[in-house]
Amino acid sequence: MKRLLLSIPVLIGVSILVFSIVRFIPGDPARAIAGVHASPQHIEQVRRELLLDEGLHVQYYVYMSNLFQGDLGQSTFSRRPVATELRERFPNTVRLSVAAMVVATAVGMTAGIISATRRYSIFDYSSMVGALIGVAAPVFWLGVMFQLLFAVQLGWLPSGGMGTFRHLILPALTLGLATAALIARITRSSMLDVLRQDYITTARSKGLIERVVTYKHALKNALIPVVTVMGLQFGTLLGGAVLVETVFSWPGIGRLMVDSILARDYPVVQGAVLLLAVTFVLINLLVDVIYAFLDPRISYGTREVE
Amino acid sequence: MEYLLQVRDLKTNFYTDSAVVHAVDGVSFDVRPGEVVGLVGESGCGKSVVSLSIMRLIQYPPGKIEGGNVLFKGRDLLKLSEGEMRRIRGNEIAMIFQEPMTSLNPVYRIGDQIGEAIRLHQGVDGPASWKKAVEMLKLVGIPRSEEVVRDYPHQLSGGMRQRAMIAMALSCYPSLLIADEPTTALDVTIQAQILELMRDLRQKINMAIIFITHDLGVIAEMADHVVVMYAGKVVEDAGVGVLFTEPLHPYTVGLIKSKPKVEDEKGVLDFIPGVVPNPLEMPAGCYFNPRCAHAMDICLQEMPPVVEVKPGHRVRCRLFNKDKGEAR
Repeated sequence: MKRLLLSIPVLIGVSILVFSIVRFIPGDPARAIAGVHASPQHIEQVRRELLLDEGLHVQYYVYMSNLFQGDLGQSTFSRRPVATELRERFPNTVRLSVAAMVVATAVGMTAGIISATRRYSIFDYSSMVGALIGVAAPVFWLGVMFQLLFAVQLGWLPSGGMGTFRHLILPALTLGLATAALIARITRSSMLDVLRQDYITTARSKGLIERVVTYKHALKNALIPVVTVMGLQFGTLLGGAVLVETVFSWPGIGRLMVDSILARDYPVVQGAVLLLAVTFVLINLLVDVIYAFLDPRISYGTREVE
Repeated sequence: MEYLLQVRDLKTNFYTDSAVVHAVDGVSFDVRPGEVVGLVGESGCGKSVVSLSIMRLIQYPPGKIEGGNVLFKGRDLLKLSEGEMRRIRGNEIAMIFQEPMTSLNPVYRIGDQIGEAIRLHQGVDGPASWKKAVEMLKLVGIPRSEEVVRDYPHQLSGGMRQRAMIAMALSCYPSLLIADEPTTALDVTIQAQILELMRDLRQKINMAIIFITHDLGVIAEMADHVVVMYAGKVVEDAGVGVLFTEPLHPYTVGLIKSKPKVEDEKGVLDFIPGVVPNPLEMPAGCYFNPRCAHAMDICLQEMPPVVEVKPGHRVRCRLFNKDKGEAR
């Protein structure tokens, strides 16, 4: 509950930041909307319509009061409500990010656990080199390489667009790989750290088989830092979605944002960034809840230990 | 069966990138059923490695048992399969550790952790093991054990946690308990309670204890027989009375002298000059020679053999060798 209240100032900060960044982008949105050949009077009229001649504080006030009424404004480009635009695109981004996270978690944790339990083995070395490459490779490059290999050369999967499950594979893989690499590294180091702890020796001294020691006694303790990283990575994932959606022509929030920036469509950019920020805050709230579930020592005010 | 456990010429090495450390270097000693054997020595002398080697819990890499025998009830533990060894761990030989703060898993309830070994070795189901866990907590003197069994380790004090560890170790009534500095991390008053508890439980379930400590006071109180280790080797072993009244090895003499006594009015403690040798740069000959006031020429060249001075009293020192070297 306290966490929930704490996220309110964060969200207000985000709204101010989003609001200002969009305002400081060079270029005149009124001119962009009115068109290159518009008369100065027309541009002036558009400007007034968008309240661009008022002070920034007035613009922010109007923006916020509309926001609380659920009104994110209207796209200056398509003339449709921003909320509608976002609602159409957001589920696609969610689907892509969740798929990427599933890939990242499955691949990353498996690799990390095996690396930790078979330290210095060939598997450990090769998966950690793979993880290094995964972290270092830029997402857009990876996406293009996947397209070239799997879509153009081998023709196994479609190179872009959305529709069947097959369309999802390449973008999810592209987006998830860097996160998988990071999760693998964190899981490995966290597991190695936990496996050195006394309670692991205690567990072994009871006569438990190594699998129970690893997956019951070690993994639950090792997951805490991994979950933190996963929560933070979701932010990166949403950012990466902008690139991946562009490369794979995936109609999500990311591409909407890129298109809107190019068209100087303020309201849509504001709405999209705000939506992503809110999502990020909510995910980290969820991470805190998962913490408490994993580690009984953590409690958030309400369930204090006597 | 005269002996419960016979450790013979046990050797455990640790391998680093550049060197081999002989952490346990040919250690031998015996434990009779129901006997408390104290394993004494300074930090880093290899006493914990001995206990982990008996349990075969040395992790490779970096450590490996390289030789010797560990005969437990006539069977060599070092020759058992991993599966056979697991049936002994926690069931016939159990272990408790120095740090009750870190030796319980923080994310599982006390009852789960105690019940785990019971379920594993006695084949009982969850609810029955839970009931048994409550019983064990009562046995080790934990009040409100029905509630404590549901607690997590961080909700208990250090003394309570060590009691819970003991409950866990004793849950299958092992015939041998290895206690690795079980009271070192506790307050003095709690220490006394835990020692009292261990003495009491030892009688109740008739188990032998290998009691590892650097605290001679605890040894005097607990042990029947004492094994003194220095730099991976046993330097002296004797019955507890003999050891304290007639210590032979200069190291043992130094240890006993450096123990604080109430009646001591000097206000200054005796100490053994020098430090434990770096395991990577062991001195030639007897490992103790750089710190020994009686070192002779031969001590700088050859490791002295073990001599049985009297039945049950062995020492690894030239001073007590019949063919003594020249005095320096």
